Amino acid sequence: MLVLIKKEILEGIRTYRFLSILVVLTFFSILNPVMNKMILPEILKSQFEGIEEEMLSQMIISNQTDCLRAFMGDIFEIGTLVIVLVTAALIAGERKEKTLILPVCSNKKMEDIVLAKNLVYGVFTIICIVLAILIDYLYAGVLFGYDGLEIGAVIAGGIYIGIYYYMVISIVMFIGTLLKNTITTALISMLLVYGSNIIAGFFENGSKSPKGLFDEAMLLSYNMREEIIVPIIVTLSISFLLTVITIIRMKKLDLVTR
Amino acid sequence: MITTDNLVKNFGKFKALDNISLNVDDNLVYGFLGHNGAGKSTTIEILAGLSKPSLGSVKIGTDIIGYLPEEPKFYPWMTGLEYLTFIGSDYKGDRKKRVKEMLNWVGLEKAAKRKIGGYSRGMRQRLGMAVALIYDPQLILLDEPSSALDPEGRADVLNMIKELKDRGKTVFLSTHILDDVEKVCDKVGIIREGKMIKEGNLEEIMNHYTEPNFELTFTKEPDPYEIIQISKESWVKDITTEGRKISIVTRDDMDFTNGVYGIATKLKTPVESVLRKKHTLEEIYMMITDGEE
Repeated sequence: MLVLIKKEILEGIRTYRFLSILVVLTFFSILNPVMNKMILPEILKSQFEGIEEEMLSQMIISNQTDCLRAFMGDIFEIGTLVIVLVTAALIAGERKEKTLILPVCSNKKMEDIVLAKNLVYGVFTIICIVLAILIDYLYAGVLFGYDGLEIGAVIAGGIYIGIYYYMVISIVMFIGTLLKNTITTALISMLLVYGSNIIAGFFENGSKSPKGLFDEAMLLSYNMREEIIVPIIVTLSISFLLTVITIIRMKKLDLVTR
Repeated sequence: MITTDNLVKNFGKFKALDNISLNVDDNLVYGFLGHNGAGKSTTIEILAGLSKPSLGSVKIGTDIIGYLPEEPKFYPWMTGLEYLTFIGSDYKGDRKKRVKEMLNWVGLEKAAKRKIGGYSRGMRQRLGMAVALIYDPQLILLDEPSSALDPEGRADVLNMIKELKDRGKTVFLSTHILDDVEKVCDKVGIIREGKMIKEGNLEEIMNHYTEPNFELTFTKEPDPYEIIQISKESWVKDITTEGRKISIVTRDDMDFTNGVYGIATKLKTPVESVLRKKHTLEEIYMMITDGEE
């Protein structure tokens, strides 16, 4: 297992997958406060000439907390796109390129192969998201001034979103057992992730679904609220179930099918 | 080492393997021959445990199998050394020493720290060979190991196969290069359209399909009338002439010596050379696959 984890880390570094996730998330974490503090007010002023200051202040973000919340919303849109695209080849790519044949023939177990991918990319994504949110928190603090937001609440918010993306990676890997084409895998995964979030929004109990992790993260509450337990359990259960199905499917698949 | 019983493999309605039964003893090189698409790779993938047969059974007398696919696929971002270390992670013994040993054996010691993405086809094939042998398996399955290699690369692969046999290994070699089979194989199985059409020791098959055939070259062109007379002899099966050369197929091998003297005496023409002709495996293969006996 350890050797497979090492292989995934090495692959993440050498194929620039880690770098892509890190660069995109940190880029937007820096861009977000700049946009909200400097660019957006100017755009609004030029669009609505003669707009009253009071009206303008209602339209723009004017403090660190709101800026951070806006960034969390951005993560869902941009983060999903980049994470799905980067991880689409984890299973589908290996199946298409037939690179699993030799490891499987040398006694590497399929469950270890799948778990190593899941673990490495899951943990890396959680770290990147927490890091990006921390950067945004600090930079927004510099531009807007610190408004007493607890750093613990920020990290907790990052972890909740990270757990959500751990599930997204499990979805992408599962779709990869159904399809060999990485682009199709990415498109279907995105459709599922965005679609399920839209659908969850229509239901009263939507906050108990994985979407609830985003809702809870945006509250930026320092104390862990009871309401977070259900979405965490639901999200981790979905991830676990999909990982088990991925392993079972990968064991049954003909890796050599032409 | 390997016994298969009526292997069938269906891909939808297409029957890729149709009741393949074969038997491979220990410590020999088994040549598995057939045209492209005959079912060689499908059979070898089943033997390697990568694919399940639709029907039939496989018995393999060892737990550790080395497998080299026709086109081995590696991680191009890894170096040869890293890949072999990764694949051989469960090797019980000095892994570093084993990896180095295998890289040396396949002649990749100088390219060990280069990325596999930059390897030539031949180098990848060599690395594939090292991967197949890293756990020192008793059975090695090689799927067309030399089909895309240059003559030098092919010769290297054949030498490796010979060395493996000398080390007591069993090699199952799938190929359509009959020259390679003649050089290294002890037993052959011939497959056509998913069916095993011939299996046996290479020497026995060669002898079975080789008719006594010799070619005489005279110092001058023989008299056509005398040739016709010779063709009427009971021991002559077939006779053809081409200038100073006569090719004769006799009814049995014992007629060879008598035949030569008989013809030389009859024609009263000095013989320049005598050549005992044998069918090549390629000719025999064509006879078998074309349904001739």
